[in-house]
Amino acid sequence: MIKKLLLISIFSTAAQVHAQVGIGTTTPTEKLEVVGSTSIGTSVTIDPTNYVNNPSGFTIVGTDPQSATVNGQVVALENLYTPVTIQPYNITNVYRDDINDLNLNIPTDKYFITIANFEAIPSSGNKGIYTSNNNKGHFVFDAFQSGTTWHVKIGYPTLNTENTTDKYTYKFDVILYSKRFFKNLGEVTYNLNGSNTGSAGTAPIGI
Amino acid sequence: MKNILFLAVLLTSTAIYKAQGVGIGNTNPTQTLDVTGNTKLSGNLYFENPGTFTGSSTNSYLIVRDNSDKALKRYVPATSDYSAINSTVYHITNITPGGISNFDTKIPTSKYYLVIGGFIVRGVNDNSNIRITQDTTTQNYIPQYSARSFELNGTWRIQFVPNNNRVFFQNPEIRLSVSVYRKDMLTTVNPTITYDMSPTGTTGIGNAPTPALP
Repeated sequence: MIKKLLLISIFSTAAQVHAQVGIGTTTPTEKLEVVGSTSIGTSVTIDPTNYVNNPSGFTIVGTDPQSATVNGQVVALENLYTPVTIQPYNITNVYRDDINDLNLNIPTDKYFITIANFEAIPSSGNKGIYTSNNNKGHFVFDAFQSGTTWHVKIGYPTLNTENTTDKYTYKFDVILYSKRFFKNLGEVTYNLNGSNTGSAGTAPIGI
Repeated sequence: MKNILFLAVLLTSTAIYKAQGVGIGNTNPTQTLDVTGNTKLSGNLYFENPGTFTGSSTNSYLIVRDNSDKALKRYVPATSDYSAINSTVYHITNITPGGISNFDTKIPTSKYYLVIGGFIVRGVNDNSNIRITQDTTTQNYIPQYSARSFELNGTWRIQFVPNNNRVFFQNPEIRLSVSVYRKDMLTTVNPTITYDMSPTGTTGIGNAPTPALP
């Protein structure tokens, strides 16, 4: 009897080191193998190896907090929700040169945006921004928050085209960053007091 | 004898049951389930409450699924041969005075979307004294620029020209700040929204339709 117990004890020690546990399978190939869904209630800690380049590539994963059956399903991000959206715009028949306030109807509580890839296409007969004096004005290309949405302003606020019939087509891309993934550091205001150099003192909070 | 058999079954299944949790591949589980070794899940995995990361971004990594062995791995941009969001500068010199009408970046449009952020125009040898030529017929007009990427024959092209056929007085060089987004990785590219400002008259105030948003 003692011999038998000893045998079991040795055997079980070996099993702890080498064998696998299967749940929903009788032939596990890894330390723990689960066939079927797995739900973990609180935190999970993993220490995975680094991705090494290979022709199949990789897929970024995330958790879906709005899964219908149970929260937190791990999914490939591109199948569900991408943190960045690029929205190209083609704004036609702009009166002279001014988009004073174009409401993009993009909610500010969920996204912050940048604008890029700008092209101004003058209409036939539109020779450009017109001024006969030395003041050459300034160009504004700005995304701003107003109310609960993002707006853009494009044009020369103090100057105009020569004729009221002049038009522009403005093309630009808006890049939307989801606040679920990215941080908007807000506006940094600094008074240079007439100098041409400065130091912010500290980086914005959140860097 | 029954007791011994039960013990044997329990132990050979390798899971170590302790008050603080279950250990697989170890005898001292520190969590409810503590696995030393690989874990393979054939079905869905749910983290009901994974917790909120509050540390510095320098201490975090994206987790990716390796598409070859399907294992979750740590993503290290420095050693990966591609990335979801990329930034670069194109420094293009000795351009004809009319600007760049078509520079082929060779970046495939099928996989990437390219946008030009800001730009700097300089003269020959980084000379800051660059201007657009003016004669008596054009001196009162300020041209705008087209600094835009466009797609042609499967690759991204860069265009950088002053409007109204205006030209620089010497060969310019430009530095373009460019962002390149890999499609369907972290970025969705929506179809273009075209909005006609005509009905808004002279106000310059418009109301574009809401984009498709996740």
